[in-house]
Amino acid sequence: MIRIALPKGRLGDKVLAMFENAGYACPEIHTPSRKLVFSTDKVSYFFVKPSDVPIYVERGVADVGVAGSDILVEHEPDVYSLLDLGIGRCRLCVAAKEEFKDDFVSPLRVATKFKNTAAKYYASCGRTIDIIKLNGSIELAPILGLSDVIVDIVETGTTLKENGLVVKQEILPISARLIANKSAYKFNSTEISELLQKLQAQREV
Amino acid sequence: MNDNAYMMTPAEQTVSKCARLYTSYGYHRFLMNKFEDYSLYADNKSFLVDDRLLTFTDGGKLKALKPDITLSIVKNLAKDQHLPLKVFYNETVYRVKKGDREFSELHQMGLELIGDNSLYAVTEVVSLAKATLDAVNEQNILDISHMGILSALIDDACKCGVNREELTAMILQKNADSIATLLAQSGCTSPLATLVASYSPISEMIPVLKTLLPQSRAVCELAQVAEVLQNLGLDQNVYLDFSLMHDIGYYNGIIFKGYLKGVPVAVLSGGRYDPLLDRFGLSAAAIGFALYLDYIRYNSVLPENDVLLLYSEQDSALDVALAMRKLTAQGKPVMAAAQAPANRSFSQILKVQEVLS
Repeated sequence: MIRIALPKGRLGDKVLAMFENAGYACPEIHTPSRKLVFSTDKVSYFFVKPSDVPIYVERGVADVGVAGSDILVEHEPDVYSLLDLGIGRCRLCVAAKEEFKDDFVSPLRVATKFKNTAAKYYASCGRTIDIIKLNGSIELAPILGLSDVIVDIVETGTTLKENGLVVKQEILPISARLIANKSAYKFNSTEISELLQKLQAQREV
Repeated sequence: MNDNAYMMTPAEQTVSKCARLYTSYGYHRFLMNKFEDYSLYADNKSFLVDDRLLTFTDGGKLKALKPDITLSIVKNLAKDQHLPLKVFYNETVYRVKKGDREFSELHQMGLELIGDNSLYAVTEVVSLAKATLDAVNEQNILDISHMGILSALIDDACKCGVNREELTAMILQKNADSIATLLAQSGCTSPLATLVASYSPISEMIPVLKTLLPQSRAVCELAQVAEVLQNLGLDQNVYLDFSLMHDIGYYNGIIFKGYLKGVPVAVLSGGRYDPLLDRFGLSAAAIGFALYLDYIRYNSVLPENDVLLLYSEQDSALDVALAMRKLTAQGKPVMAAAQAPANRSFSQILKVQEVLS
C-alpha cells in the first residue's frame, strides 16, 4: 500500500483527480466525514497543510506526496522529486507598487513567506536586503509601507492589480511535483515506479 | 533475552557486532582526539555534510570539535603508516544535521581502507558495508553508484551547454523527467536520464549498463564487483542507483548508501575517495564508510524479567544483603527496594523473609 500526502485546498483536489484517473481511486474520500486518513488496500491518502507535505514525506510517514516547487526550493527537503505534474502552475515574483524604483542606497525591505528563496535570490544579485517574514496577506506590506517589495506567488496577477501592485521580476516558475521518501522508494520501488508511470501518462492526457 | 541484550543498549550491541566483524577482517580500532585544527575543516568544507563548526581557541590557535572522522584519519594516519592501512572507529562527531539549526552530538562508526588499489579491496569494503547493515536489521538495501560513470556523463552534457549545477540537482532528486527535457533542449544525446530513472538489482542492471556504455572502464569495474558479490551470494538487496552521487572533488570510484526498512534516511554512506588523499599530497587508493547510529530506531527493549526484592523496616540490612546474595547467585537480575518504582515491571516480587526461609 502506498501512503500519499496531498496538499489541502484547490491544488489537492486537482491532484486527487489526477491520482484517481491514474487508477488510484478511493471512493470513501468523497463521502462527507471527519476522517483524516482514507484507505483502500492499494493506497492511503491524507490531506495536510501544503507546506507540511515535504515534512511528512521526508520523515517517512508518507511514501510519496505532492508539493509545489516553491516549497521544495524554500525548504530543500531530502526527498526525491520524481515528476513535474504540470498542474498548479504559477510564478514566484518580486512585486512592488507601480511607482517604486530601487535606489540601491539603503537595504531593500522585502516582505515574504519565502525567506530562504528571497535571500538566495538577492544574494545572487548582490543586493543587501532586510527580510520581513510574513505568514499571509503579503500584498499588504508595501501598501502600508512595511516593505519596499514583496516576494510572493503570482497566479493570475489579479490580487496584485487590485492592490495597485505590479510584478517587477520573475524569480522562478512553479508547478506541483511528485516527491518520494528516499528510503520508502527503495523498499517499494515497484509500486512507486508504477505510480510514476501512470501519473506521467495522466499528465500527457 | 541474552546477557548482551540485558546489559547493552541496542546501539552498543550493534557497535559490538560490527567491531567483531571489522576486527576479524584485520581492521584495527583507531582512537581519536575530540578536536582538530580549524584549518583542516576550513580547507575541506565541501567534504563535510554541513560546513558549520563548533570552534574554540587554544593558546591563540583556532580549533574545532570533530564534525567528521575520515579527514582526521587521512591527515594523522595515512602519512605516517605503512600502507595498506585498515582501521575502524567508533566516535562522536559534532555537527548540524541537515534541516536542523542547532548542533548535535552524533554517534558514528565506520572503517577506512587506505593504500590498496585492488578489485578485492573494493569488494571487501562493499561486502563489509552490506554485512554492517545485516548486523542491524535484515531488511536492508545497499545502493551502489559510480562517480566515474556519473562524472563522465555530466561532463559530456556540460559540453553541450547544460548547466552543471542544475543537472546535478536534478540527478540527486532522481528527476529523470526534467533531465530528459534539459538534455533534449541542449541537443545532447545521453543515457543519463535513463540511468537516473532506473532502480534495479545490481545483477540485472549490469548487462543494461554494458549496452548503454560499452566503452566505460567504470562500468567494467562495477561489473567485476557485481560478479564477485554474486559469486559470494552477497548481491541480494544490492541495487544500482545513479541518483546517488557524492562530491566530485573528493570521491572518484564506487560509492554507496545503506537503508533500513522503516528508517526514512540513509543510515550508511561511503565510497572511494582517492582525490581526498591527493589533497594531502598522498597518491593512494582509499575507500571507507560510516554507519550513523543515531538514525537507527530500535524496538523498545525494556527488561521485564527483573525480580523485585521488597524489604520493610523490620528487615535488617544484613538480612536484605543475604537475600540479595541468594537471589543473584541464581543468575537473576534483582532489584532491592522498599517499594516498587511505578515505571518498572517485574517478573516476580519477593519479600526478604520469603527468600531466607
